[in-house]
Amino acid sequence: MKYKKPDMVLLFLVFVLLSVGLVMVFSSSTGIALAITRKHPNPYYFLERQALWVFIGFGVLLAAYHLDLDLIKKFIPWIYSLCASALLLVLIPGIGMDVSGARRWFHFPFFNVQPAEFSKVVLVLFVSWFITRKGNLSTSLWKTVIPLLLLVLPMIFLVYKEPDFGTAFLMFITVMGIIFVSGIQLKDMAFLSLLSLPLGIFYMLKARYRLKRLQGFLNPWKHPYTSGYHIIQSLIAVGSGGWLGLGLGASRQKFFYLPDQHTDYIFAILGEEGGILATLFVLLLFLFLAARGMNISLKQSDPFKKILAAGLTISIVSQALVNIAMVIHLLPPVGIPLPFLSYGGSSLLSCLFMIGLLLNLSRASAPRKVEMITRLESA
Amino acid sequence: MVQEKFEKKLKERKSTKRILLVFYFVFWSSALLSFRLFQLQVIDSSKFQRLARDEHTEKIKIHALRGEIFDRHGKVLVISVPGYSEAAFPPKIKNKLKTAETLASILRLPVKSVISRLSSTSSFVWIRRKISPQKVEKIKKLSLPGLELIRDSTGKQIYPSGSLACDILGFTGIDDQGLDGVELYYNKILKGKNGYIEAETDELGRILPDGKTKIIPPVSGADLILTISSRIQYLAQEALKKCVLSHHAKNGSIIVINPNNGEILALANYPAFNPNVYWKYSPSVLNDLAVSDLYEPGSTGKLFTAAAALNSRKITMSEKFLAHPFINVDGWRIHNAADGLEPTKPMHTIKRIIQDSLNVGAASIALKIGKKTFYQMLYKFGLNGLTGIDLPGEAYCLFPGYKRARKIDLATMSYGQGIALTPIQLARAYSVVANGGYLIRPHVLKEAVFPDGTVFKTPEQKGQKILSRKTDQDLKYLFSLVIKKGTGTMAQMRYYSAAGKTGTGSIAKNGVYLHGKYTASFVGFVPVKHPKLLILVKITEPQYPYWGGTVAAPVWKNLAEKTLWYLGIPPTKGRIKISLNNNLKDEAFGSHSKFK
Repeated sequence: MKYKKPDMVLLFLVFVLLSVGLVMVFSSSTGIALAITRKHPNPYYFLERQALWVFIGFGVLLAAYHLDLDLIKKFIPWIYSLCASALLLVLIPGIGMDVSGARRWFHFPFFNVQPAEFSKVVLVLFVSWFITRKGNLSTSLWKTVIPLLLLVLPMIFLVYKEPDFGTAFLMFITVMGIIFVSGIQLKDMAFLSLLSLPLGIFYMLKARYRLKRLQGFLNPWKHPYTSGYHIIQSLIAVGSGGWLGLGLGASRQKFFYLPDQHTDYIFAILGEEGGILATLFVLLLFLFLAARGMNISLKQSDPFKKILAAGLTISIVSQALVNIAMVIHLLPPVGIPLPFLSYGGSSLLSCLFMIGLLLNLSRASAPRKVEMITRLESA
Repeated sequence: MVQEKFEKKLKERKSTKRILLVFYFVFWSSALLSFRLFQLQVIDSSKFQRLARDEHTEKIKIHALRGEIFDRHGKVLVISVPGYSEAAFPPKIKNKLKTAETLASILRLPVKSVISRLSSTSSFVWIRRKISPQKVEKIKKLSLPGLELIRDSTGKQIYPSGSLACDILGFTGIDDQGLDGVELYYNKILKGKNGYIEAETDELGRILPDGKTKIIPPVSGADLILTISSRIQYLAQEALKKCVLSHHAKNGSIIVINPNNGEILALANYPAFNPNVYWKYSPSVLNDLAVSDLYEPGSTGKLFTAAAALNSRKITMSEKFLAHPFINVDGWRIHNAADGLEPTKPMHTIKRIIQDSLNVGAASIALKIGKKTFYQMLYKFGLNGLTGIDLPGEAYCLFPGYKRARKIDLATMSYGQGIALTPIQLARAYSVVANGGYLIRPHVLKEAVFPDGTVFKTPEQKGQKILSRKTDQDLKYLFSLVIKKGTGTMAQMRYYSAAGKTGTGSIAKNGVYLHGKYTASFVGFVPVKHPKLLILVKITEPQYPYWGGTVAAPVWKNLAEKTLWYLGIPPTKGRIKISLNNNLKDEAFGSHSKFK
């Protein structure tokens, strides 16, 4: 293994995104921070916490950066089982923390941990490992893809059961993305899609509240105070931003008009305060991030690393795109945070861990040109 | 081996293609999101900004000050009480301590509480509401930034003259809402336009720390200047009260109107009420009888018969009618009324019929001219509609429809029975005679002065001419005979020639005329040649003697004399010695009168 320079552009992009994120978390959370810290008013409540998470997150990033992936590769099945059991544990009353009917968190003093967020990373590792477990890309439908799905779907189901439909949905997308990238035959891909279609319809029709939510999505202005409320408030926030926005800190929607203003809907507040200038800027950052991630993937010679890099990129970028689409009413509200920007420790840590892995991979990639240059220099 | 390597290469190339495909997908998705963002934030931005504004701004109402009401001489009849509130905009205040101390000392509030309000995170707070006038003067002199003295309304109307002109003014309820009289009729222009403080709030309605605030000051209502003269009004109310009490009557109304332009100089009902405490009175007292009470006028209604007969030229002044004590119509027997004088000759003209108020004569005239002519005249006098007086609750005249009317209906209507109208309708009808034949619109509003200085004046309208000059002169002559030597001699004045008509109307209840219950009335104008004044006096159910000529005519004379003196109208007959002048004035206003 030759040690090269990591992808500094990627690191810089993440750095910018995190900076925007810290500013927006502070701006969007002051109202709610004052509301929950009524005894000792502290508008910095969420900023302080997020800053701490960013700090810890860089530690995690560094750890991921220095991981020996060839060593880790051997333990992936174990890690996967461990993660699955954590997801199972969190569902058990008394162990998982119950927050308004959802069991997503392990409660520790000072902080809570959301195993679903980490399971995203583990899932990407596992799928990449499974597809390349014979040292080569294996894309046979019956030998690889179906067994893989049978192994992966229970884990996604556990996440879905928390319930955390958004994360489960993203995990499914990521798995499909990796399978696609690994070179599955298109007719097999079509077969899988056809298989999942009736599943999706069955899922929608099973519960009445989902149908209502779908109605709210299709026509929010008809249900402005019930199922359409979230969507309308989000649109008002984004739309009232205009070209340049109302100015930093000047959001009105953050004063409890728009729920989840500092977590899942932080992009709406960004649009309100920064206008289209800010939203396009952030969108562009994610696009660049996708480009860098794919670039790293393309440069890998080892199939496992190649697939891993692509999977990690797909995982982060798909989450960002789905979140933004949800905020601007192109997808139904599924409840997932925006990577690097939304408040929340678990999401941030898992994202930074993935970036750490990508940087790790970028360093280990085989840029032949660079080798040539170093050789020439030494000569 | 080579085969394997080749396969691996192939697969790698395939996955490279796939990775690029995924990236293209990401790229086009981003493009789609960008288009959507452009649509939301640029194309539809104004729509969402409007939605946001609607959602975020809360309006705090500032009540507009209601307009005040004055009589024609500028005497105030209704006062609106303004209220003052001190508002502060904490973010704009630099020196909070000093501001708080100054305010606290003026408003006599604890400094601590003022400071706590000024250091609120809200963009807007009330410091004190309903500040007394002395403190307001002091605060006005301050010029501290971030403070605003807001003129509000206390919603309180004061009627300084008590029951004076109560039926015209009406009263207001809570919320500055006009409930009766001019207060109701002109409520829209009196109430003004509420202002408000617009403040941005959070979802729970709390004012935002750095939110924008805007004060839209209220626009006060228009001040009204009425046509009434509070002095004549006072005279009328006093005279009416005296008369109703002395005759133990049920109630009464007086209308004093300028017959030339319809300006009402006084309009009174008894019992009266005090608008300051209107809730203490029963609805029947609050009712404005002069415009809403329908009654059968009795002989004053002979005006319509005479006008119809003369204007249609179907009879002449010298045409003679048989002087029977009764006639039979449709099987009913019509007598001369007891207040009319008995006919002295076998034949008499319309002069006698009006002068002595002969019902049989009136009926004969009506039967001669016929239903059509008679009804045409009723319609000409506007009895099929309202007078259009600017007071609420005016009632429509009641009489049998043209097609349904039988001979007997026509006969009784000829002397004012079987037809019911309101005092204001009758006053208008006599005004037509007084002003030379024009159907004027009685009104109480002279001017409305809006806060921006614009003045609305009630337009001078002569109205439609409905009587010929000849008819008008004949009618004036006939009605002057009534006072000169007919039933209305008690209305005769020493220095003014007047014309008028007495009326004693029977009161019907459930289709039966009540025994001994009458409406005594007198309506007349003065001076005859160029009338300046028309007065209608109507007393309901006086005790015996209940004739219009004995109950209402003296009140009429008294009031007319005093009013003429007050208006300074020169005498038209008799000779006045200068020395008499003072005595007369005393007579007019009483020796202890405040109008001396």
